[in-house]
Formats: sequence, structure tokens, C-alpha cells
Amino acid sequence: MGPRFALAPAAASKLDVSEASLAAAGDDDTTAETQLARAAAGGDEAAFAALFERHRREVYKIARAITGDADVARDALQETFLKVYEGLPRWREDCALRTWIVRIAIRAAIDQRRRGARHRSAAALVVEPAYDPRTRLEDAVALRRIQELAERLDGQQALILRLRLLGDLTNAEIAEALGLRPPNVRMQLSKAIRRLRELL
Amino acid sequence: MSVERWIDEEDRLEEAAPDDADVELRELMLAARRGRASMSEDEAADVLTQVLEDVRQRDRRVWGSPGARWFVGLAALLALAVGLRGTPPRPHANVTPAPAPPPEVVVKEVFFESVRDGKVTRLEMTLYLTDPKKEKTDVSMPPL
Repeated sequence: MGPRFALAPAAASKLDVSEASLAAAGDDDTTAETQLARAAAGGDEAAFAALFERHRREVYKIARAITGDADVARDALQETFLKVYEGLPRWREDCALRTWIVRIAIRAAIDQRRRGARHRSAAALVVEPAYDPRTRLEDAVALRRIQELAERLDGQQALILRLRLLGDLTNAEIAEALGLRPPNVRMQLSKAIRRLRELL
Repeated sequence: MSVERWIDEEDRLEEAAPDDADVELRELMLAARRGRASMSEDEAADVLTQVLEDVRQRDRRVWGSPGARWFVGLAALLALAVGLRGTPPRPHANVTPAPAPPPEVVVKEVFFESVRDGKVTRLEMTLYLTDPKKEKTDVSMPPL
């Protein structure tokens, strides 16, 4: 499989990302990822770039779901991977790398949200999906509406709702990331939805 | 279909028939899901570049910290001192003392001569190294 990661030319020249490292990133098995993680922990920036490419979309999605703001999510993404880079030498392989990164991402997003994210414009919308402008606008408004409604839920319920609905994590993944039992996640999600019905 | 069940059956989101009271909420959620924005490749590259730049700056800070600078400065001074003074002398314990001359060897010859009232007095002394073990001291004579 060829490299999936395409840096902007300027960034690519700065990073000197090798084809071989990026090709290695194309493999989906855990062993390849572990090797990338070990190489990145040893200071291999190309290996780190490959890990970044593998996980950035999910991390951004989680951060966007939690913060509700594209700029804040971007800061959370940056903060997450900075912590990942710093923490890789201490990463224990008894926990899946993805789970470990998701935990860091959730904490980073919550931190960013607390650090004055509310002062920024919640209306900032990144317009990317290539579908009809009217539908796109309606979807963006719906996203904002869901975020606003989630603001009125209990903290943990709102977090679970966001991660489940907008972050695309399963109940089991949310449970693992938040240190809860899956039935507890399911129960809180049900409560969150009941509350949303009342708020609508 | 309830919203809870709808959420659990994500693969069938589009097929779910809007036939219950949760239609509004479900459609809102579906639209919100569609409206999730992702990051462009250029933005992602910017973030990665920034992360790596932060890491490099942090590494530079470690080597450029006051403690590190003091250590590096001390090492440079030591290197300079060694360079200026050349190879340091070997420890004293390793210096081999010069061999002592064997006994009975003349160490020094001393010659005195004085002239007084037309008389010439000459004193000649020859100093030998003696073996202390074999030397017999004449205790009756006071030391010089």
C-alpha cells in the first residue's frame, strides 16, 4: 500500500518524511503501529508523522465533538500529539496505542475547552463536505444546535453524548477511555437522550 | 425506532424509517453528524509542523538551560586549561628517584688554603659516601 500521508510541500521539506516510513504507516496491523511508536519514541520524526496521520482524524473528531469549535479542536489536536510525543517513551504496550491516544485526546479537549474556549466564536464552521450549500448550512446549524443542547446536560452525560454521537466512539470505547463500565455509559447515554427530548 | 436504538445501529442510519416521535431529534442528530467538519490536509500539516517545532524548541531549551550552559562552560574551560598547560604531570608516586651512588664513591673534594705570616696552611678533604650499616661512629669525638 502506498503512502496515505500527503504533507503540504513546505511542511514536507521541513519534516523530511521518508517514503519508507510513510509506507510503513499504511499497514494496519498492531505490530507496525508498535514499531512506529517505538521509532517515534526514539526521536524518528517521520515515524511520528506516520502515527499522526493514522490518528489525527479521529483525534480531531473527538476534540471537535467535545469543544464544539474548530479552532479549539485544532489546539486540542496539537496538544494531544505534543503529549503523545512526550509520553511515547513511557507508553506501556499492555494498552492499545489508539486507546491511549484517545484518552489523551479527551483530556486535552476537555482542558482546551476549560481554557477559555467559550470566549471564541462557537459559530466558526469549517466548510469542507462537498454537498449542496443549503444542506451543508442546515447540517452546520444542526451541529451547533446539538452542541448547544449538550451544554445544558449534566457534564458527564454531555461528554458521553458528544463522544458517541459526534466523536464516533462506541460505548465500549467510551467506557474504556473514561474508566467507566459499558452499562453505565449506556445508561448515561439514555438519560442524555431523554433530556434532549425534553429540551427540544 | 427509538433514538437509542438508532444510535446503536449506526450502519443503518440512512435506512431508518422516520416513523416515531423521535423523528425531530433523530434528524437533528443525523444532520449534526453530517455537519461535523474535518481538518484539511494543509491544516493538519501545519499542526504537525507546529508540534515538531515545539518538541525541537523544548529540546533546545533543555540544552540551553542555565544548568546545561554552566556545565558546558565548565567543560570548555577545563578543555582550554588542559590545552594551554599541555599534558599534566604524572603523579609523584610514579616518578622513579635517581639512583643513589654506590658507597665508597667520592662525592666531593674540598680544598682550603690560607697564608698567614708567611706560612701556608692547606686543608684537603675528600667526602665519600658511606654505608650507614657498615659505618662505625666514633662516639668519643664530638660532632663537627
